[in-house]
Amino acid sequence: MKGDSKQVPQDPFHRVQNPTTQTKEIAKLQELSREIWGLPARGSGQPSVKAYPGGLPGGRGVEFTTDIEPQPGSAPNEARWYWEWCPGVQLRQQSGKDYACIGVTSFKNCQP
Amino acid sequence: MTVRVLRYDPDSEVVPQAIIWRSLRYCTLVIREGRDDLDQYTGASFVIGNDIRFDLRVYRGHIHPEVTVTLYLPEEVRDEKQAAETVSTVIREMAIPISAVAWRRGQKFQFGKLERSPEDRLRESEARILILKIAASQPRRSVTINKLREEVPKYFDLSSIDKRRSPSRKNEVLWQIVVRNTMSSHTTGTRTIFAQGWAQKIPGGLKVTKSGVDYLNSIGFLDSSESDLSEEE
Repeated sequence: MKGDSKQVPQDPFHRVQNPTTQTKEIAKLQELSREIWGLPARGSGQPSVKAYPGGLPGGRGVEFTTDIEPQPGSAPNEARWYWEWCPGVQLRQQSGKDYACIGVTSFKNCQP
Repeated sequence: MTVRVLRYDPDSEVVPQAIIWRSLRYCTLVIREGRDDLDQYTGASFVIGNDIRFDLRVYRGHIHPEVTVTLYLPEEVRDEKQAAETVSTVIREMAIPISAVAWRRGQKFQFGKLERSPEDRLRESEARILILKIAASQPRRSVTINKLREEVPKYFDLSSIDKRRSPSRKNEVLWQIVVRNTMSSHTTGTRTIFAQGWAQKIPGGLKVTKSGVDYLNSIGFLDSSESDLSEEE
């Protein structure tokens, strides 16, 4: 991340419940696997995991920590982990789709 | 160059390149809701010329979501110099002052932290465009000075300097004086919204002309198709 500060991820990140990419079923899978998966954005071939920085501010969602450093492309209000461009991000395949995958070191499921 | 609003979502990944200390409503009235792999957002898509595409978005988890907006460029724009130049072009063509940029790629940051430039406050050059935007948002594209005073804080996050009492006019704070000066008839010069033909005075306020609507279209605040207004309207 040339020019950006080195982001050593000690603080938590969170994702907010939504009807497609962060359902309560997905949260349960994340909790059981201790992994967060992410598809490529529309029109992109590069799968990535995206999350908000900081703890869950309330409401429904999940909060996690990871020892994998977020990628270039992150911003103060958005963390991203791209497969291939970020050491530690793994590739997972399911139903013919590629997912970026990061392991979590702690996980709090607030969307049971 | 003209900033044109696009009615459809980008067909590729977009990457955050800058955060602007202005609300989405300050930047454009053509706002839609969207959703991607991160979350839901409100935002708008734009194009400048044939090759610059960009998005403004406010996700639900945005920092200071009422007063900031994030500028995204397509992921294809990977060259740092090109990205920086494109961000500068977007800021300039949308008539956003450089002091409003709270973060841009290449600057150090801490996750979850965003600081406004201490230089950022309402100045007359920006107030001219702001009152034009507010007037264009009102019925009949006209607004009174009293209504402007109500509306400005809804569009612009007034800084502590803006809210300081005027040393010369004790009953007004600085931003109110800036707005009044921008409106006042003694304000002359080629850069006023009246001299530009973008607005005309009406009793107690101003009305945006077709030329003014065209200007607001050209900076992406309004949609081009809405500019087909007669001057009498």
